[in-house]
Amino acid sequence: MGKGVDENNPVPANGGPSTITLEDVRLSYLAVAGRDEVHVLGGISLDVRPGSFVCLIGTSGCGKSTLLSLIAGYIAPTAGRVLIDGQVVKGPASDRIMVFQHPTLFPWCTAAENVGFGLRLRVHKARSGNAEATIDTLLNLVGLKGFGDRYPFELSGGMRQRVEIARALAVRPRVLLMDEPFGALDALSRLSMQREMLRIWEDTGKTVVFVTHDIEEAVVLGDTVVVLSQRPATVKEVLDVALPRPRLREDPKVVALARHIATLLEASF
Amino acid sequence: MGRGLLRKVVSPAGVLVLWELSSRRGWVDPLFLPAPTSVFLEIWRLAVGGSLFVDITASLRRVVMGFLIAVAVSVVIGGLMARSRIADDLFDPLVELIRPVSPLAMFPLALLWFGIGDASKVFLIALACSFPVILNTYAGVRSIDPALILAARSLGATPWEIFGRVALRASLPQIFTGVRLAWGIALIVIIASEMIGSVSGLGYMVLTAQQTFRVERVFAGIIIIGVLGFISDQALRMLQRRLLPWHRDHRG
Repeated sequence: MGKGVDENNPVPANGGPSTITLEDVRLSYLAVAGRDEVHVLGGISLDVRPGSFVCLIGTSGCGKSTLLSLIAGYIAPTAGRVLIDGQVVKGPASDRIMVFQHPTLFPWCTAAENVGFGLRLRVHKARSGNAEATIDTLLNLVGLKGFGDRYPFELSGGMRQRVEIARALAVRPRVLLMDEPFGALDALSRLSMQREMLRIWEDTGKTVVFVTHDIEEAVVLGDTVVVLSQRPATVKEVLDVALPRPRLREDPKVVALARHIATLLEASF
Repeated sequence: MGRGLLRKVVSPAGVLVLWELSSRRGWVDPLFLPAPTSVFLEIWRLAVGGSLFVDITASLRRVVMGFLIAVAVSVVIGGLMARSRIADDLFDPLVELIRPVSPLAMFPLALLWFGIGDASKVFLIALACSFPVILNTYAGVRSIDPALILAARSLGATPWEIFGRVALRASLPQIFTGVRLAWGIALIVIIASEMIGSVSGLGYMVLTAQQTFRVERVFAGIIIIGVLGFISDQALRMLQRRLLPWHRDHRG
């Protein structure tokens, strides 16, 4: 389970993990001027406890990535509010870092330089202390000890995604927003990255919002699985997964939950 | 040594031998086509006498100064034009109006303004070198994956940090293409402008040699200019490999 912040935490957040609150969040836009509005999100309310691992699941195109962009502050809702620890989100900030399906590593930076990128920015410089030590700790945390001097093109897809996660953790975010982060990986890397992700989460105690369209992934990872309906997305059901970790896909309780979610998703077609 | 290398040496060597023979045997007037051996002897004499060194440093000093000024200013201008609509609107008309004008057409003006010394050449080289660097920097910054900008922004980078640490860094391979083009242009412009109005430099040396009918010195100057161009381009390539190790995979 996520333990929150403790002394052994290699990358403590500033003031601990955040609470995320969505209050009747709606989003619509005009795809083509003069045409009808497209309703992407149709009133979503949600409370994410600090330090919890929440999976958002829905069919593709249902607006789950859009919801993540709203929490990240990349876009603003048409109606409703997004709150982080009671503060309305006004734009992107490094207390919430997004990890995308396709890593966005800087190709001219080595793995270590990528991880250190945020630490060398003005906003983080003052409190980043010994950057080299932090980078080492993070590379160890994501299982890339000894790969610090490799360039992204020399790393596999899974390794790049690990660097991406380490780079995000370096700026000590209070929330990790993950948009199908393992969607582009092969099946084996995907399983090992899911295990790694749980370990990293348990070690760091961040609040994680994890978007996926893989039902089993959601059940294996999440404290909570939020099932979204078809567009315009609404919350169909919030499931608390009260199963001990590590969870196996073959576990009958996991299978039963997954089947329940599959039924919910199919019903929304 | 493979057959390939041998074949590659055959034609230049053949030309040299034929050239030497035709000059020595009097097939052509050696006054207009001095033998290669006398050309190399002339290079040796110039080197020992010290005037070669003076002319080379004079030319290189002007080229390097103009080139460095151009690169420093143009990278910033090209980058700003790519990232800011305002900068684009301000600079683009100037760039497009001045770019088609041959730099040599402006040389009389440069002489008038800056005199016969270094400044007129530095000015002209800086001007001529600007355009390839501006255009390549602009294209490079424009083609950056927007996801990289977004990633930097979400990590907390300010717009200026994004400009310096992401936009310009990501465009370095294309900036370098512009820099190498600019260097080639600089070498052309320096020789031509030293021929038109100067009292030192390789261009001046070649032109005065021609006017005093020292044809082997004309040839010597041409060869030195060629060798300098070749060496400096190799040096730029080496610098490129050194500065852009991450770009190796794209270069093939």
